[in-house]
Amino acid sequence: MSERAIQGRHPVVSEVVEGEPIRVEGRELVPLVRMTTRMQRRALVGTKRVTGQGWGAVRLRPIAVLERSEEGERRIPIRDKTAQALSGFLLAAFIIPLLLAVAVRLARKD
Amino acid sequence: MDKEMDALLNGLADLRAKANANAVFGNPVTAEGRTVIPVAKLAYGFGMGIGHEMMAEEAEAEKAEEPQEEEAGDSAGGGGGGMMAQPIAVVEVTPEGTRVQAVIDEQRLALAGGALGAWVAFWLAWTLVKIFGREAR
Repeated sequence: MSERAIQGRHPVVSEVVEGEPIRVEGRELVPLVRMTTRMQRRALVGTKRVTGQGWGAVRLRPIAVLERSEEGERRIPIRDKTAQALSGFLLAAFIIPLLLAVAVRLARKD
Repeated sequence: MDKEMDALLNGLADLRAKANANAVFGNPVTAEGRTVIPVAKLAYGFGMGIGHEMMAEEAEAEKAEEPQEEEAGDSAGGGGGGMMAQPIAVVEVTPEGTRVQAVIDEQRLALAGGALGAWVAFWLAWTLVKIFGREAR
């Protein structure tokens, strides 16, 4: 029984894309979005059986708005403050035990 | 069955082309001389699987490349997906200018802050026991 495998593994691709401009109050706002995609597909074609499976994931994260007006072009960044705060918490959760372990070691030396 | 499988898997390859960058910006809402555009981050994913086992006669027909009206055998397939959208900011447009106001998820921050507080309290207690617990003995 001969089986032929078809595989398609696409690496993580991340790029900044421009959305369609939104016109508000005589200004043009262009969304800038970081698009990250990842996917994998696999098929097995044999004489007695055929199977296939695949999955994909897409993440869209706005990073800035480009404001185009008569005065010119301006880039206004969009920050995810909740994610920033959570990253800070995570960093603190790693650093505090390390500092305390150092404190214990120093106290034992004395 | 091969063609159906190819079509299904090729659909996955177009994932990038189908993703719409405008999906993260909501419709502008104008009120009291200002326009507000909600901004969210988005993530979605899906997976699927399909299988077909041929009966002996179907396998023979396929080997001989004879067209068959009906596929004999067992087929099964399944799939699923999920999506997450989270507001992160609003773009406020007024005659004076454009500015971005962050949206902070206070509930998530409170939960994470509580967990961090408990974690730090545990390590502080551990440190005190290690330093003073030894001396007390």
